[in-house]
Amino acid sequence: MDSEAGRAAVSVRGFSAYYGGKEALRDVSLDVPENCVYALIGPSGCGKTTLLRSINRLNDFVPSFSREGEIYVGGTEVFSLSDRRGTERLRRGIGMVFQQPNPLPISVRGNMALPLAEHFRVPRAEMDARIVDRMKQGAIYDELKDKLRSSALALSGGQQQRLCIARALMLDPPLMLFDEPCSALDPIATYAIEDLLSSLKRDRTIVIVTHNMEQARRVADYTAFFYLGKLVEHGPTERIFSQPGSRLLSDYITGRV
Amino acid sequence: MAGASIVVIALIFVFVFYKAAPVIGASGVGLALSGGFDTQVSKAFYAPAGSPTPAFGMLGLIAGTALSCGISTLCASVMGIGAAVTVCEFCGRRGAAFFIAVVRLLAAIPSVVFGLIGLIVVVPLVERLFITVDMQIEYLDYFQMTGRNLLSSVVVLSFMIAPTVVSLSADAIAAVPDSLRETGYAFGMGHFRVIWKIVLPSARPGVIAGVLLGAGRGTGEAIAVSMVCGGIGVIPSAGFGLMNLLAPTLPLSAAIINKSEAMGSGHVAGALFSCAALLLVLGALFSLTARVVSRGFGPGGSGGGIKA
Repeated sequence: MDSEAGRAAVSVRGFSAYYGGKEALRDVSLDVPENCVYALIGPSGCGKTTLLRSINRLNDFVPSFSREGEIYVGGTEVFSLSDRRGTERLRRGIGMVFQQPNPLPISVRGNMALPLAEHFRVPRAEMDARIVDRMKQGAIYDELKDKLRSSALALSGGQQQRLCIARALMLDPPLMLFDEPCSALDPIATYAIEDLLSSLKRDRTIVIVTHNMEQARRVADYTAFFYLGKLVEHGPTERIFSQPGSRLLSDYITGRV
Repeated sequence: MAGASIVVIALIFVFVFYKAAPVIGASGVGLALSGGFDTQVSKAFYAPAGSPTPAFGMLGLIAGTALSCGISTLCASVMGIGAAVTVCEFCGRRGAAFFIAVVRLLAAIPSVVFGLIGLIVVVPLVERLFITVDMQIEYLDYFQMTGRNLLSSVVVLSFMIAPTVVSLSADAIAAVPDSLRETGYAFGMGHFRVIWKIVLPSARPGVIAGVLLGAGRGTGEAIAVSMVCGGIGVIPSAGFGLMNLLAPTLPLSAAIINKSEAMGSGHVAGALFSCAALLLVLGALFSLTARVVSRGFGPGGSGGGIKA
């Protein structure tokens, strides 16, 4: 693993997290190589979402949250950013997709334009071209090209989620975090998003939290298995699922935990 | 129960319009387009019994309602939405619950108490701060300048409307899911940008409903306004500029209270019922619009914020 640390997109070193007095993660260390899909799996409450939300410091908004250890994104230790501007710049470089599709109650175009318009002055033509391009990358353009002006809330759940992915692509984040992106979707919409993940990883790194082991198996190059706040096992997905190195993981894979 | 309410409401409309019909018939469109209500009422009161229904002109009253209610709704919206944002976004969950409870209490204060405070506090303050003897002499030909005027009505009404705006806006803002806020933060937006670009647009239907219901309360509010408005339906004139704020005013609702002593004359009663008819229509419009807006419009129809 040390050989990969130099070109790791995300490095977690001795990371522990607490909510008040309750420990959510204990001494986690792992490296996410560039241009891959890295899945965090484990039963509910195992700390995988806490780790994900620590990477872009979204957990800062939870008042009782505290932590020890470091997380490096692109060589920067994220908790060393002490001022507001630093964290905002960090988050700008990390796309995030949430469990519930969360388009804003404005038009499809308005949703797409928001992240970019928030940080840069972009001429209209350039903005339009970029919106079309990112919607194509998000595999949503063909369905929505005639609906750019209509409300994003009128779309189906699967369309909304792909719109949110395309929206996150507007800022060209080298790293993207997915927090159980398919748990609110039907199987067809889920497959569409899984297809999308494998095309997106060509140019960026993806960390995905999922409770669906089959999904991890289908999309992830690497998988880390968490149990009760501890990183039990991690490595190439292939190996994790075919030769689990611990009783706990094999029990989880076979559905006994 | 619902059926009974519909029948009662329909009967109220029928009764009010039946009573107003003679005056509406005699005045025609002049009812809304001409002034002189105060003198018309006293003339009608002293008119011999059996005389034909005279024409009335309510332009001054309509202007009074439009101005007092319009300006105070504007002030209350700025104060109320600002307060709702502050309370919901900066005071924590417990602080928000506490402040909203206080605001709801404010909404429950009887309007006559607002009027009394207006009379004891606001009217003398306005008189001392804005009105000089020179001004009173200068405008003597047009109207009598005292602390009871449009400005005092606006101040009192603003404080009466604001709680409605605060409480509905706060409900709508609190109903914006945290995941939407987090989306904004994840794009690197600061707290204020998230409020401006994400929270308020998502809460918009609820906020607009609050403003409209507040405006409805503003138009219908009678007793407090009648205590501080000055009681004369002066038609505002562009020539007076800001002095219009210091002129006495008489909104439709306050007129009903103010002139009710003259109800002994059937014609005056008819005139007041036509004020009531107009108020009924306005009130119904405001509350229906608020209802439609808070349900959300357009496709999707979930309306973003409010769930009621």
